[in-house]
Amino acid sequence: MTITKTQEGAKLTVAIEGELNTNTAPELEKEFETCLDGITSLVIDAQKLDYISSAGLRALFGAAEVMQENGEMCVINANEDVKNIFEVTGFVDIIDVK
Amino acid sequence: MSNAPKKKRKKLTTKAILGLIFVLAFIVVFVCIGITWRYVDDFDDSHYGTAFTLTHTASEYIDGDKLVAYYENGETDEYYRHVQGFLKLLQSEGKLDRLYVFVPSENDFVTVWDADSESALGVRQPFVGEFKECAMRFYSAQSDNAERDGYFNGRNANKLVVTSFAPIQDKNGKPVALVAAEFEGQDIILKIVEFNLATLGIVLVSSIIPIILFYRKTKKGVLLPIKRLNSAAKQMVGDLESEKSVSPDIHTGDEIEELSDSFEQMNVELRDYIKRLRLATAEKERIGAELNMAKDIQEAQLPSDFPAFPDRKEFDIYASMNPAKEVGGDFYDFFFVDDDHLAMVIADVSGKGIPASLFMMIAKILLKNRLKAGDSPCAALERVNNQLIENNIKPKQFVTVWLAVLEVSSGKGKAANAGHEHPVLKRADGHYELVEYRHAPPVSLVKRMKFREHDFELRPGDRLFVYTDGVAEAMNVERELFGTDRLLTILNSDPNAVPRQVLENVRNGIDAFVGEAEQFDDITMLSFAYYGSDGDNTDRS
Repeated sequence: MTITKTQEGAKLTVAIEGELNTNTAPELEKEFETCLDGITSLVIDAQKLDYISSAGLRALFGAAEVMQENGEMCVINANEDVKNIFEVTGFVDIIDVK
Repeated sequence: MSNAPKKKRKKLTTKAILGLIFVLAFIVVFVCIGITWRYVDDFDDSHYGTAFTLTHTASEYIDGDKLVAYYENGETDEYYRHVQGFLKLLQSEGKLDRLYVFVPSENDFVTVWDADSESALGVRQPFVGEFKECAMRFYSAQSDNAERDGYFNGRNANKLVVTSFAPIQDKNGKPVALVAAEFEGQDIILKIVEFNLATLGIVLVSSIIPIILFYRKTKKGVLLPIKRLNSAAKQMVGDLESEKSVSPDIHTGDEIEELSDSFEQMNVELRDYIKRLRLATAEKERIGAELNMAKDIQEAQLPSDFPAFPDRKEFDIYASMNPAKEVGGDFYDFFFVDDDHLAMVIADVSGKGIPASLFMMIAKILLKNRLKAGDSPCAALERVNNQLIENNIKPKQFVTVWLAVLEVSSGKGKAANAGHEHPVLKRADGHYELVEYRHAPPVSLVKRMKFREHDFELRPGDRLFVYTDGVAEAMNVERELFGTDRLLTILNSDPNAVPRQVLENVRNGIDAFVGEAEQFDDITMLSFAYYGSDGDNTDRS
């Protein structure tokens, strides 16, 4: 998994490449711990995300919870498979997947 | 303890003495060889000059032409006797052992004069070997500048014999005879042996005192400290449990004391390490024992007596949970809410191990309580969600749940899925297929969440299979996922298997797929077969 961050003012785009699973999710959680200060808009670019497991969903949900307090968060460009995982697991109800 | 291996080992003391003796023997051998060589050399040197002078004096003095006449005629005269007297004088003055004049020929030589005998003329003697070669070198040489190595150096019994030669020439300068002078070293070999023995004796006697001194010094400075270190090491190994540390107490002021200090330090550290290791091991054992107990407690929470409802003919149910670690976050549950309503639950807490297992216990109990109280699946999830979220930690733990309440008599029921894997359904006349629909999010993430439920109906012969992600995400060594396609293939390969057999088939399929890879996640499955209110489950598991 590769994480690429692009910040424009208070808007942060995090592009995730590869697989977000039990092994790689802690790395993303660690990133979110430090990079969300002062951010009001968090965009997760899932264009190159191949797979997301329940641990990955949990990591995204953790960020969504933080953003709930002082801004907004959405997932963009998710492919059909990943979108399907969000829908089936019910995470579409609590994370904004565009 | 056996003494057998000790005997084989040479003691350091013995080794030290043997080493000293070896060095001494080496020195003595070289001294003896040196002495012998010098002695022989001296003997040659001291007689070389004399012999050279005397033979040349004789060869100058003797008239070569007259000599030829004596040799050919065998008659003596005044001159012959005069020379005889002269040679005798030279022999006695030069302390020679023999002085004689001879004419060499092929295999023997003919004596012309012999200082010791007046009737030597014409006596033949064998003329062979090294003696002949050496003599002939002088005989054929035109000049008389004899070299040192031209002297014949013979050994005869126990005697050293040195012979020097000088040629006698006739008036034309042609060599006609040789003068030979001999020295004999009396019993020279014996003398050398005596001398060597004396030397050996002196060396041995004179080295005894230094050897004793050296040995005593070594014993005090090296051997005894090493012995003490050795016994301290043995004591340490034999008594590792003791708190008391062993000190060899060595103060030699050299490397041995340094070794002793290092030993003491090692001793202290080793004891400390063992103490810590013992504590750590005890702690590990305690945790292990507690973990095993926790495993038993967790397992006891899951219904595990099968057949679970021997007196119900309408259905058959079978379930299993295999945690990846001792305890896990997966669980299943099934129980009657009332006589006609069967509740079935399968759930997966995020994470693994002890944290997941604690959360799993709470979730399981809360869900059972709500369902037992008569809540519908949706109502139960909403209530439990709010209860769990109140005491949740960060990052949030959550639990995916599939649950259903079935009216056994009619086969009608309600089910809800909070972020859990798709159930697999097989209609009586069809195949096992995933039932895909949009799920609600997992439980314990968002407060006051609304969950959805849906109605379903089972007809006699229908089968249901639910599972956790440990099944679909079982991984082999190539890091491929088992996946739902493989799951369906296995289920459909034996479509009429009873629930117990279904679980065994899937488990075998997963094991065959993952091979040597370690089980990564908890694997939990529940299989249900509906036979209807008139059903007969005689083939039940």
